[in-house]
Amino acid sequence: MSANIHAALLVAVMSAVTILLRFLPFLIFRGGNTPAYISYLGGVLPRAIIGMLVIYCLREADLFSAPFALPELISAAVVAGLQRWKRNSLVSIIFGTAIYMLLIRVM
Amino acid sequence: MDTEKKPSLGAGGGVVKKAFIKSAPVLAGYVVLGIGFGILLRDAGYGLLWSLAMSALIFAGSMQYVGVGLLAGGASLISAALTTFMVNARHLFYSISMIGRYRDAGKYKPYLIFALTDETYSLLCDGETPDGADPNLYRFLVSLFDQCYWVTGCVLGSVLGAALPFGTEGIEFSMTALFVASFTEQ
Repeated sequence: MSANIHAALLVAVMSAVTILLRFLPFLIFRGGNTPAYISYLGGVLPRAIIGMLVIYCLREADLFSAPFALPELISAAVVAGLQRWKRNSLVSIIFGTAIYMLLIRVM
Repeated sequence: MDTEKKPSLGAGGGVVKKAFIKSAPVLAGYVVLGIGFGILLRDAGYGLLWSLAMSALIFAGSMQYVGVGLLAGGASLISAALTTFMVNARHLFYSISMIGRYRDAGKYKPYLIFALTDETYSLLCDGETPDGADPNLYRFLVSLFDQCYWVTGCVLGSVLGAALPFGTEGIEFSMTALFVASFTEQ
């Protein structure tokens, strides 16, 4: 039971911090204009952060023993290639994930 | 059933349809990613109600995937707060770039801000809204449709996880694929 309470508190903390992050800029810059450097960061940072998230997702891939992270690298390349070609995120994600699920079973 | 339309309902129906069409690209993606999340959460020992609560209250896909690990490992509240901050810090910048657009959103504003996910941001950041429709209602509906897809997927994953005829190992790559696609697109 206490494990469930702790888990509920964890969900509450994740929810509260996420909500805080989404509301904070609106609370800080409520009245006046947004400073130019903040707008600049708003323009360039999302891409950098998404890049970091890709690295974060691949952190457990092992480059130095078989299969040398090949399922991850091949599947990610397939996703990037499909995205460039078709520009349909859904197609890229489903196809890339299917390839990954196949590769980890055969490699 | 009363099928007579009030004068305002025609415009209202139009904006619902347009918002649905706008949100459609996110539909299958959210359902598939949500199912992946529901399965992972279920495998970690947390069933339907947990999946429903997390998708309704957190509504941040990558954080929920990371959150499965936090729940399974019994993380401390402090480390959960710090992890959430780091994984979701990018939302600060989504919000920053929407300050002007959401300034006069009135009663829709709290939900618009709450529901500003990566995908909703990518749908609404071009700032275009259909002619003749209330832009705030339109953005509210797009955001709401997106969360409906997400909650549906998370719940489906939790329910279907046990019944799938094939092993689900590797389904977590859908999150990596989401970010790779998003990175390629920007």
